[in-house]
Amino acid sequence: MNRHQISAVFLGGVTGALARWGILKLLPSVDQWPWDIFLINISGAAALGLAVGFFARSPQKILFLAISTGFCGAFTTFSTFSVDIASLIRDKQYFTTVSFLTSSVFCGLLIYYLSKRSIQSRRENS
Amino acid sequence: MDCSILGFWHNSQLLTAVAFLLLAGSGSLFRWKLQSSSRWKKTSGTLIANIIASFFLGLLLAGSPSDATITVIGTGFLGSFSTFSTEIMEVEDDLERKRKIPALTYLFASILGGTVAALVGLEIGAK
Repeated sequence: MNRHQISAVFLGGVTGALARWGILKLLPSVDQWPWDIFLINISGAAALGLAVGFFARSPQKILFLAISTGFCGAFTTFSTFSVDIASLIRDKQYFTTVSFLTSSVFCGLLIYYLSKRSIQSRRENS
Repeated sequence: MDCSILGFWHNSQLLTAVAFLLLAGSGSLFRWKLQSSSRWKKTSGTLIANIIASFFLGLLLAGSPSDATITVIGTGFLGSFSTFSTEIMEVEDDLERKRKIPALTYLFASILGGTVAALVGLEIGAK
């Protein structure tokens, strides 16, 4: 852990958190279904997939650390995800709980995989 | 109008913004530190960060805090300390290596652990 790595994670994290804060401010909460956190987590998983694909041959690069652990790590969040699920359970909104949970995990895995593969196959063809 | 230089710092919105940026950066650093620990695997670091953050966010929100506190500690620190994207990456990595049981165990532990931690936090915070 050298000074460059610490700065990379810190600055990436600040940028990611600011982007999340901005999106949460802009998005109106339309109904009980937590669309805002869903969209943030899914787009962050897509961005991480692109970064992992792009830096596949040089994962030790400082820019990769800033984007992956810093930006994508801070942009996406698990604490609000858990508290949203806990609140839905307390409100007995079981259908919303299950649909929010499963779609977050399945869409997250799928979009991460697809974005990673799309970059990898582009690089193999070039 | 306050003309002193210190008056600049009395502007609470500015203080909120500075505290938000500092805590958001620190949250990411703490998560990275947990993930890089030689005491356990990288996935355990992510799991610990996510469960701790879920508990404290529940605790924080149950106590009806001010908007500034939610922004700085909730959105800033706990939001950055916990992560969803790394979690997904780690699960997908295990799945691609045909390690289905570890992948599902990790995913299940994160979601169950995070939800229970948030519920406990909400309960304790409301008292």
